[in-house]
Amino acid sequence: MVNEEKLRIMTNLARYEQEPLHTELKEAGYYRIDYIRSHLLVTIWSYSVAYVLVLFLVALYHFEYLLSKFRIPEIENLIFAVLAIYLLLLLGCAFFTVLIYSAKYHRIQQKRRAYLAELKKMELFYKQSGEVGSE
Amino acid sequence: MTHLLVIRERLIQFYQNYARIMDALFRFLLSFITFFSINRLIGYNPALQAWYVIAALSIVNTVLPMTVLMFLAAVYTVLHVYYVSVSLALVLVLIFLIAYLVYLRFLPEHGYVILALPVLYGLHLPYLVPILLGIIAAPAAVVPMSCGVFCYYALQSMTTVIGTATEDSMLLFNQTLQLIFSNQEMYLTIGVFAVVMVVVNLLCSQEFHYVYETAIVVGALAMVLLMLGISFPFNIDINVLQLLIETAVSALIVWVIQFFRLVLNYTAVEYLQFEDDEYYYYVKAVPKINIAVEQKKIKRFNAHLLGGNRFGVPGDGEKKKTDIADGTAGDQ
Repeated sequence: MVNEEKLRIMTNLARYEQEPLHTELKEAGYYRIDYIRSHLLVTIWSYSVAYVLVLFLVALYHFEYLLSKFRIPEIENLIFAVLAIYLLLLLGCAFFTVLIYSAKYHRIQQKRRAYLAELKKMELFYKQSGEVGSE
Repeated sequence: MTHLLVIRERLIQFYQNYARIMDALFRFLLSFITFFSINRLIGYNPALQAWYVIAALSIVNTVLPMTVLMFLAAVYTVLHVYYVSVSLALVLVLIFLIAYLVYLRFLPEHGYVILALPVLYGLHLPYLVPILLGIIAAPAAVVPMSCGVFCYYALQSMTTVIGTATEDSMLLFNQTLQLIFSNQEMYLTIGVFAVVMVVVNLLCSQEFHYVYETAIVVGALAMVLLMLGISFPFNIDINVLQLLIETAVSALIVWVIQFFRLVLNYTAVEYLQFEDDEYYYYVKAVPKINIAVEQKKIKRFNAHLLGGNRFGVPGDGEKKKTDIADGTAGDQ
């Protein structure tokens, strides 16, 4: 015989264990600093690779100029400009990443609390069923 | 209207009864339409244009996650471009990689909007996107919508450059980029789509009756007027009849989507006022329309007299045999 209350609690728990909540709940187990740091590293890596690819495309676009008119003394200025733009973009990325993932961490903590509340209901249900069964 | 509501309920029940099969079928159709549209936009490779290739890819997509469709669409486009220009295909791969690393990795759901625009351009229904996004999405959806328009015009520029090129070289990349960024029509189209989407979104957040229907009509009118408005001063070639038909069909499709999403009964609106410790509430409650669909049950009297298990009812003789087999005959 199916117990309706048990079914309701388990359905709610199953909802939390579907994607994408399942991954978010796993991530909610991290400390805030670790969570933001891991996403920051991934963002920095992604944007660095993307920056290199964009530089490659820009070099392809200006291929003729680079081959025919570009001079060695200009390399220093070019490298300085490239690094300066990279650092500025990286700082901007890092700032927005910290902002966005801090807000996301706060949101997933609220979902985690709701999930834990459902787990407690389930635990209480089993305890009560165990007491009724033993009676 | 009642007939439409009954049809809606029957379709929803039908979908709920066969949800898995319907989901697989929709994914197959969506994939098929995507690859078909890509063929129409940039179909250079004759091997990829075969219907069985599209069908095979679509069948593969029914069992894989939806994000794989975006990946397959990107690979499909690159393979088409690779057939005519290796250098442009390489550049396209780099651009897709940059777009993934910078944008889609963090917001994968925006990829569906970016993919939808070139696909709908291929089906001559691009005006559907801003009206639909205005109703179902937040104003931030302007970003993926603009990227989608950019993608379409980038592919158009690529086909123009390939069509006039005499040899494959990196110059094709330069010419394509110059053509994309000097395309006035692209910027104006992005502007028009953004304005229409924001207008529809603003209307949908209002509280008057039949707000969604009004938003769809206003969105369609705004689209037509703005597109005609930009065509004259900027010398953009627009087929007026085609614009009108496409906008009307797009508005109709959006209305159908909204009809299945939410139907409200504005004749039974309730206005309530109450208070708690913190606030005084003014509430307008608009009930959703839920219609009970009649279910016919046919009860046959004296069907057992016909015998031969007609209508699922065993005949008198067969019933006695069944009783003997069950061991219940002695009980009578």
